[in-house]
Amino acid sequence: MSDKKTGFTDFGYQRVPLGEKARRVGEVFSSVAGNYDLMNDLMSLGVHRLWKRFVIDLAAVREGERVLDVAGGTGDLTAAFARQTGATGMTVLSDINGAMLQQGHVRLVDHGVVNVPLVQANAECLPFAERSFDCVTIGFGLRNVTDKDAALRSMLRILKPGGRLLILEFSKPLNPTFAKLYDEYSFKVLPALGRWVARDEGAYRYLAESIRMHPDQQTLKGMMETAGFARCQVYNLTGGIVAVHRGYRL
Amino acid sequence: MSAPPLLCAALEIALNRYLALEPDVLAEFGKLAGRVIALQAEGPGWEFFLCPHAGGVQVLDAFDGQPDVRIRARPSQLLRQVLRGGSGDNSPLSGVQVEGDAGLMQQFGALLSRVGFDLEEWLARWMDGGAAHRVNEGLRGLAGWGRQTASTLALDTAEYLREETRDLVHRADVERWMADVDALRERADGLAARLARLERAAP
Repeated sequence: MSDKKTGFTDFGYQRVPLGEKARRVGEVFSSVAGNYDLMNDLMSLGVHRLWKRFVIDLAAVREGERVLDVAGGTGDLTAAFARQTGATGMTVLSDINGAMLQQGHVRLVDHGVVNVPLVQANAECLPFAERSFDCVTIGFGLRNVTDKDAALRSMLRILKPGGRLLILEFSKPLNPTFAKLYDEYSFKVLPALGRWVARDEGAYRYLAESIRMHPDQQTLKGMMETAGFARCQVYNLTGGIVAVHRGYRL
Repeated sequence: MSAPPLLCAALEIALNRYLALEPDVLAEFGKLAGRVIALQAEGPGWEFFLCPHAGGVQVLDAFDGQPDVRIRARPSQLLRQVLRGGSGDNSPLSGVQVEGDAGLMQQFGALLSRVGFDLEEWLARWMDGGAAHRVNEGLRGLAGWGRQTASTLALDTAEYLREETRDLVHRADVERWMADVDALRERADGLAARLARLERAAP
């Protein structure tokens, strides 16, 4: 977690200067962007599609609403939301990484979704007017953000009153035995998959390390409440490997 | 005790999908915004907090504050009580405890009961109108054939057990036999009374 006093933050298990994390995360995602979807399917055995489906259902986006998908990467959530918001609403795909946005654009066009604005933006200071979105989502992106508190405040600011934020992110397994198996998988299988498929072992070692350094379910819930979100709820999926946090701006 | 969050999510997703079928009803949920209905399921002891809003319903496992109405019952009774609002009767069913604004519960149930599921309209999202109509008619015909077949099978089975194996008897035979038993019992009682009178009269 970032530490403004020391001027250093976590990049996986390493400590790096605050200003350097965004660049190094950017390098990781620029490296894996081309194989991002394939790797997601391989690493999760396809289960990531169910996790995203759960977020889409829980978001309950309606026609005419305005939705922002932060750190939207290759646009899985964006494509679904764009169909739900329809011609009278709007869905925006945002990511800090240009290569990921480019992949997202290609994927959306392949799916016949052509009316989605793309915005290259840092989640810590989103360049949108206050109270301009009904729903904001961030899927597997928050752990890569340097200042998570600032990102939460930024997302709260752009939500309309009554709007909701949904965070889909890796978290802490609830069962200790399962957690040990998951550790073995994360630190042995994932880097190997990264080496064979994406030709970048380091990126997937970073993935495993960054998951361990990410706040657990209750800590993140507390961070959301501190940022000003109300009615915060946590939904553990697949034994806590992944958690969905939802909070409202009231 | 708080309800499992995933169960709350499942209930919320199901309710909102159901409500999305009727946009007019969904819009009216906005009138209930800010009100909270607590459903306490006896047995598991789970408590769900239903928060209606203009876009549907939010289902929480915990709520900081006092709900407007709290309903306690077994899970099946809870469901019947909530859906009963559509009938205009807001009196609690047997075994259901209601604390607070029962009218809110009735309004909520009345809105839910106004949602109708039109299979043909739903199918038309994925196919053209003519095909949706034919599939709907086909499914109706299949369901009707299923009901007719099940009914015929039940009648044939009962007839076989009555006429062939003699394991069952006709209702008329049972009623006649029971009437005969009643008549015999009455005559036996009369005879017993007559004997008792004779015994008393004997020197």
